[in-house]
Amino acid sequence: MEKLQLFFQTAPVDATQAGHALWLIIALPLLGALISGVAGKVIGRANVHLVTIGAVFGSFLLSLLVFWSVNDFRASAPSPFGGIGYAVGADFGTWFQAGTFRVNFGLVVDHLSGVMLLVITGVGFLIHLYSAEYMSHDKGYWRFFAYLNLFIAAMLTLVLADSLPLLFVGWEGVGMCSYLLIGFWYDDPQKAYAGRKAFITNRIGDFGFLVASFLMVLMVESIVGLPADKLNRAGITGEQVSSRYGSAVAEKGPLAFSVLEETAKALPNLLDEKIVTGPLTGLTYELALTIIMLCFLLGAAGKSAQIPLYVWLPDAMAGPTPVSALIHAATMVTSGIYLFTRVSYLVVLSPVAMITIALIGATTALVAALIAFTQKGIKKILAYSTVSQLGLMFLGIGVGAFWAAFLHVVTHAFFKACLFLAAGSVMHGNADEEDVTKLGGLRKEMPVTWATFLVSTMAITGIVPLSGFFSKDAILHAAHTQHIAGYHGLQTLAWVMGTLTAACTAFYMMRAYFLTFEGERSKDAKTPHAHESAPLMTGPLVVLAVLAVVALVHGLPIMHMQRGGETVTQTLMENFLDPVLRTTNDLVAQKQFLELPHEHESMVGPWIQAWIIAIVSGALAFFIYRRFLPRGGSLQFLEPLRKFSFNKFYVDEVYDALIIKPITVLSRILHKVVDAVLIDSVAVHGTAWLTARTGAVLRYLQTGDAQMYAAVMALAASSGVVWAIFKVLP
Amino acid sequence: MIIPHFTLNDFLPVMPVGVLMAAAIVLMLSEVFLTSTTRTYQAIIAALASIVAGGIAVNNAFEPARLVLQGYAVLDPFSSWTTAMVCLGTFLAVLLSAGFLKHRNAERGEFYALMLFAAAGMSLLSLSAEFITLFINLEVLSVATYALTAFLRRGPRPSEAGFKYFILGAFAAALLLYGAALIYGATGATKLVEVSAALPAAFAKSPALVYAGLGLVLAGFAFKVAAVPFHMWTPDVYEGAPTPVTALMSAGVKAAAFVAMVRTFLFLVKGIDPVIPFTVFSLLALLTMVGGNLLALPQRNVKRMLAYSSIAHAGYMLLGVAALFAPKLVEAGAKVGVLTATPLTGTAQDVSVAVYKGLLFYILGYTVTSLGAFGTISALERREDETRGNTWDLERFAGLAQRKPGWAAAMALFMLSLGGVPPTVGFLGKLFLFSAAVDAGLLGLAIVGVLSSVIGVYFYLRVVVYMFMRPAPIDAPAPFRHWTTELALVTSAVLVVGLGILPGTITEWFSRVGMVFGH
Repeated sequence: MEKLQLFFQTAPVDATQAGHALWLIIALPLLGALISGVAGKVIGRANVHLVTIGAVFGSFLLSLLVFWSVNDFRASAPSPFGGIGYAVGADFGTWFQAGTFRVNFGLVVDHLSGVMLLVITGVGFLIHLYSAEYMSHDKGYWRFFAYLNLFIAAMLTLVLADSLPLLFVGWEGVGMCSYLLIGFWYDDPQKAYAGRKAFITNRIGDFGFLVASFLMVLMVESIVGLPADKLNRAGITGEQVSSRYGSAVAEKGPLAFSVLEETAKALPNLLDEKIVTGPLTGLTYELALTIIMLCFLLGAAGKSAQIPLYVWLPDAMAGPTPVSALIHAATMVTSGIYLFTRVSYLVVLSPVAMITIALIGATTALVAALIAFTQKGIKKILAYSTVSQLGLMFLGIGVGAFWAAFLHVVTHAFFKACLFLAAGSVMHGNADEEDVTKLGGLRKEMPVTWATFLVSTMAITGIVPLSGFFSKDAILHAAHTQHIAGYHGLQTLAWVMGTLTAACTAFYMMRAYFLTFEGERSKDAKTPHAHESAPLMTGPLVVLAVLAVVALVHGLPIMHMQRGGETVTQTLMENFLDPVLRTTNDLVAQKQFLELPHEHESMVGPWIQAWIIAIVSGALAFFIYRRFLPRGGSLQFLEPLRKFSFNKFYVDEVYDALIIKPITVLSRILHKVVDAVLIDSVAVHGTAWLTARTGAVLRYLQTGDAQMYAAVMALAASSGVVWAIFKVLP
Repeated sequence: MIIPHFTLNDFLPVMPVGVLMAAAIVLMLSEVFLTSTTRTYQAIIAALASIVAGGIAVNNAFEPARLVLQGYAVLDPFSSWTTAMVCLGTFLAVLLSAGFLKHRNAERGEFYALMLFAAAGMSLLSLSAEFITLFINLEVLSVATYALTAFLRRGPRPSEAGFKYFILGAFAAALLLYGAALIYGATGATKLVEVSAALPAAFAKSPALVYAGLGLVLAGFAFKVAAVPFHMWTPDVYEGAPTPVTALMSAGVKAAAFVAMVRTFLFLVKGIDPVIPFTVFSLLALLTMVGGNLLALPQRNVKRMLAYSSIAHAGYMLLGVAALFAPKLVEAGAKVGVLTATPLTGTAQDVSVAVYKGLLFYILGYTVTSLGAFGTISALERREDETRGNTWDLERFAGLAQRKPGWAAAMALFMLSLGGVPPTVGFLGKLFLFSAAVDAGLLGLAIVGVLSSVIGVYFYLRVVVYMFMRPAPIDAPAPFRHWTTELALVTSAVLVVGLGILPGTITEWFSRVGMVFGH
């Protein structure tokens, strides 16, 4: 065992070398996208597959190698600046600079981004394989694979970035690829519209992200300007902090994560003070930080489909199913959680932001789960389920259980990708039928799809001992036991909503499962017999289903740590992320904004609770959809509720009436009055008309008469001379 | 009588001129002794002569700046580069002429000889450092161009153009000469160095005399560079002259006159109130930039439009000259004005190097672009149309992209360069000049310059629109082709893009210290 541990902790490559090779991980899929996008039509389908899938696989291998180096105990020596647990990274120099503000192009892999790397390239690789079969009849295959590779590159940029601006590049890149892929079949106006909706909703979030970044720059600069005695910390004098901080800001730029971490370390003593320099003057640091975090929340809500910006994700199912699995379940939508985990040290300093995140997450989780109850499209159900699970992750972030939220990101990536791919397999074998009420009885006809779908369904419902239980329970447990200072009541509410969500999840997922796979084949089915998909599609399904089970090890409390003289038991994931979250944990201990439970309770209680919830809800679904309503539909007295839920609580309609309509009317007025009349007619055409007139009038001076020419010259010369002479005459 | 002791060093700057003159004489004699019917060889001789002369000039450009020929001339990179660019312009104009003249059965050795004499005059003008020399060189240049303008004596237009040019040119030359006489009267010297030394005392004694002299000298130069309001001859003359000659005038004559004007005034402003020359040059720049562009706007005649455009470009160069004479110290509270300098930008630093670089690069860029543009026109015009007066109408360009895609692309390139669109040389030229002006604090004037160049884009792009977006008329004749014309057009096009993308070495040569003698 110890030998095994040592093996995993001794990487075959030097950490510095690994850091300098990080760009390759991004460059490979980028190159794949370039080749496929430019020459894809020429080189043919097989070569496109070879290039793009090979590129992702290469990235995966490199990621494995880098991940290995991250775990190398020899590399985990404290870095020169602030002891940040970044294991592998390289700074490639200044990216851009304006005045004193600069941004470096730096890539970094720590335990957090290392896991993300493996998920992105690993799951990405499986989904590429799956797509090769799934898209085998599509003419736009080269475009599809180019976009998919581009997405992988952008997502890798997002997680490898060592500063907010570079992260934002990836953030925008994944948004763009998502837009391109949702609207992949752009000749269908509805699908193109769905792509546009996703893009615009995301842009609203990006606005929040940008404002947060700008405010962050201002805050960091105001701290740089503080007198040294304000920056005293335990074990280190203010002068040292000040000089190190100043030079780090000058060297790495104010938005590098290492600088943000150091900022967080400086903040606890400053929170109640007022900012004295810069545009933020007058605000307290706590207020400024809260505003920044709430702006980040807006950005994260856009990308991770939270209230109020979740509306794009269900519509995003218009894209090809592999895209839904990769982008809208496993990777891109989790970038909001990644962002908050990355800056967790700032999150824990603002209780207001924390409770807001928790409440938004819990509400989203519950609302999405309720909508999922009645949806008919299998992908729609999974989409709302994704929104709901993302809400749970936000709840985890909000209550400070970053590792739990992140664990759920990982497990969710496996089982939700598996569910989506299985749904894709179902559609592939049933002439693209999406409606669960028109499927049914697929258990015997598609055994592999059935088995993997069932495993993943059990994982997401939280049946012990599948991975979903451990991650979800860790979040709910934290929501129950860790208290945000001053918000006990609201937090209990969030916990209740979270637990209800868990119950709902079991119900709607079992509903989808029963309607699709059990019972008799529906009379409305498009084809009389379904066919099982090719091995290239079922293979990834099996791998993902296995992963959905195996990932449970991360949730086992098997690590024993020496903390302050006593032995603490941690789950594998918590222990693994410890280097990343160390500053966060220190700040929690220092500021006490988050009250942690004093001892870990036994896991047996929650286990039984989860069993009961999952089994009761699942059984309910079983009785309703196997016994009473084998073909879907609803009970008579619940019909209004069903309709309300089926129409997604009329949120789209409300948005349309409250936001989109007024804006459309306003822009119409602006177009008619300001643009057409004032700008076009008066300013643009008016200026042109005036200029042309002036030219035409001046033209009449040009008579062709040489005497006149000479006279003008003489007049000009003499008036000049006379003017100069008059200037000097007394 | 003192016999001056001249060394080879003294003749170094005039060696390009010697080559040009020798070739001109050879060409004149060839008309007498050779009676071959094909005369393309004459163009080749003239082109070779300009290449050799240009090569010598480039070589001279790396000599340190100094007075030569007893103070009657200078040898400095500024004048040597001008000579080189004049030779480049002559080279291209000669190539254009070969096809143009052949098409009209007017190939004669005198034509090339006159061109080379004009080029010699331009080169000499740029290095003159004494008023009488200056005047004579100006006349060498002018007489040659008068004759060239009226060279094709078919129909009334060329004679009218030549005559107007002669009358008004003589008038301007008289003004300049009278100004020089007044300055001689005030200072007792004609050599610029001596004038400069004597000027402060003369100014203190009789300021009006000095001012009158300076004003008249400036009027003479303003005529040659076609600054508004001394520009009125330009469109008529440019339109009437044979197109290759117009090309040479718009590039070479102007360049030489600019350089001579800058040199003269660098010496003449010492000792007088610096605000006066600065205001005068700013005013000229303002009027020329705005006036040139506005006047070009209603033109449908492309050749006439380019004539006005050359006025506008002279305005941009005048902006650089105004930057050169901008007051070095500006009070901190000064507001942004069109004719005043502001302390907004680095007035402390010496902008003269940037101005010289900008001027020379602008001249270079304008030379290649203008030669190319006029060259395309010369290839498109037909003798039959000359009497009808619509030879150069925009309609002539309609559908050129379908008929002659290469020519249309080249012409589009020249138009974009004139409009100042990257990646052409015209963009960089404007960039250098305008940034030098901003550095000198001429913020308001630079803004006006940029705005007026926006007007220019309209009429430049209109040509492009006609070429690419209008159908070709059914009876559109095939353009006249000649290998020399096409060689000239290709050379210009390559230089327009090449210098626009890789200006590095050239700008480095142009911005070395000691560019201009005595500054």
